[in-house]
Amino acid sequence: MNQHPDSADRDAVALLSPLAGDPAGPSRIDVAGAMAEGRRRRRTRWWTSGMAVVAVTATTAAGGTLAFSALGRPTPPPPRPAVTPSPSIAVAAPPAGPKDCTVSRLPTAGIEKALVTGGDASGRWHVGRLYPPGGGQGRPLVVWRDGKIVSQIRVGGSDDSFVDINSRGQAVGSGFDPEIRPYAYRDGKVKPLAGGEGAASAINDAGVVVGSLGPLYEGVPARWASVTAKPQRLPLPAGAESGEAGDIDEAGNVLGTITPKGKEGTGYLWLADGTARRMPLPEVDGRKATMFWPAAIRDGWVVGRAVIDTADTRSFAFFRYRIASNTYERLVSGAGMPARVAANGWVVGEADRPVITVGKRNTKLPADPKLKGEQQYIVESISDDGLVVAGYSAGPNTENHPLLWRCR
Amino acid sequence: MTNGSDAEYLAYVHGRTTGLRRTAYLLCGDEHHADDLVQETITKLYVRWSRISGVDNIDAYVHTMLVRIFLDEKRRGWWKVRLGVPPDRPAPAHHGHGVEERAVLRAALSQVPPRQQAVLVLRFLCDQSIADVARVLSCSEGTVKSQTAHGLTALRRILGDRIHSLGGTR
Repeated sequence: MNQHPDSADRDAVALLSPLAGDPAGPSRIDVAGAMAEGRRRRRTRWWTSGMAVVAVTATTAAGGTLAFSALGRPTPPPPRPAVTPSPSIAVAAPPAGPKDCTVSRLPTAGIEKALVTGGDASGRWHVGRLYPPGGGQGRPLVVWRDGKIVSQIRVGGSDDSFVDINSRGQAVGSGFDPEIRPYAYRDGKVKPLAGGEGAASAINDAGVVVGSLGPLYEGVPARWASVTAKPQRLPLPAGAESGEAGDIDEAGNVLGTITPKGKEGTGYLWLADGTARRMPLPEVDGRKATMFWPAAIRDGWVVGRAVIDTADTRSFAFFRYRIASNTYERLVSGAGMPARVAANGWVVGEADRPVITVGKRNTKLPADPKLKGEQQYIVESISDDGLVVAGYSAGPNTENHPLLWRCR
Repeated sequence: MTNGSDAEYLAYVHGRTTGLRRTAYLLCGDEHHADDLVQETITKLYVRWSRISGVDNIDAYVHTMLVRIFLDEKRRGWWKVRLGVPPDRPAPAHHGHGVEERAVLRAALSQVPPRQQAVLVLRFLCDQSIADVARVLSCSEGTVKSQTAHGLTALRRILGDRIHSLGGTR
């Protein structure tokens, strides 16, 4: 046993001591199962299988991250869901996909650690956060236009972050002071959104903002008609206790999740025509999904993951959904976990590197050659032409770099 | 289909399950979730067993895998939506600390950034040295120290006034 000699360490041990202890119940560890699954995995890595199997029960699990703006046309829903079981994505027009993709780092005013947290549909505007060393003055939020910093803003709360920006350079975000508060940025200034405690998730080019009102993760879905408007609650269906609006397209279709009491959230659509409906649950290998966790909406396309729970496993399957036809298409193997969708239907997903999926073709975006050690790449935006992707790397030592990929 | 390598694996895993479950439980605070973290760890271990069974310190290697699986899961967004909501099932009482006290502290800890959570748990609940934690997280000892300080500050900020209702010195 190591000793913690100083009193600060003793205080920390005392603070955390209520959490000490061993698990009380019998072990559910299945060694034979681990060996069987291990043999299977020796043949395939998860991101090449098109199905991520994660053996985790539903205790703290999430409705997936939601965000960002989109372009779309309202379309009346057909009566019944249908599923295309085999991987097939029909994209109408050429080109067949991105090519000659390159990666560059967005400028950070000399600061080593920074994130991209959102981007617009033109691929010109991005938002993020800088982490100056020491951190005494907080973490400035940053707006990039055409790959150059145009604004650095200190909002003054805790954990401030922009989450989205539109093609007019209006951004939205949230911070804690002490409870979470949403705000909007335009013309170099940040102003609170009306309605008090809540969080913003996305803004479209018309300036419509969506998010939630109330405590984080326990709030209700909301929509602000403009950055100066009072919020309106989006209706929750019977049985749903909470929810959030996570993304909006140009037509005004809102994508989110609703959470029944005591359960986890599942996908929901508040359509521009005034109707609202639960997203259908796709079938995965003959089994109906337990939930659908949406990630993004754009031009009538939705991407996300189906959650398939059995008694002791949870697995995911990745889909693109079309509002107009009410149909799911399973993404081709190797597409990764879908993060965003472009107006042309191209999907960007997260695997060992970002992947743009067009039909059955996956294009892996390049790694940042300057980075050392194992990296993950988190994707935050894709432009409407599918050729500009933004995100950041996460490597050893909590190192993060804001990255922009451009293709032709 | 058991061969010599499988037998070694079985012997190793059966001897280590208790320790791994304990660390996983301290990291995530939920018994079932802890078992799932261990299950995933020993699955990954099996995938790599033929390559690593000869390394000097397998225990350190396996604990590192466990912590990384915990962090990867957090990073993939599992924690983002239901954060801070206590689990449905009642938490068992431990060591005289109240259920509510544990729930408040666990909910607060789950809102601290994941790597800082891991640093706090490994240092102050698993009693690991700064050097060991640095190895597990592939970072410098200085980073472990700063993550400890940031994590404690965040935890105290999230707890706010409720810190006074928790036992022990602060």
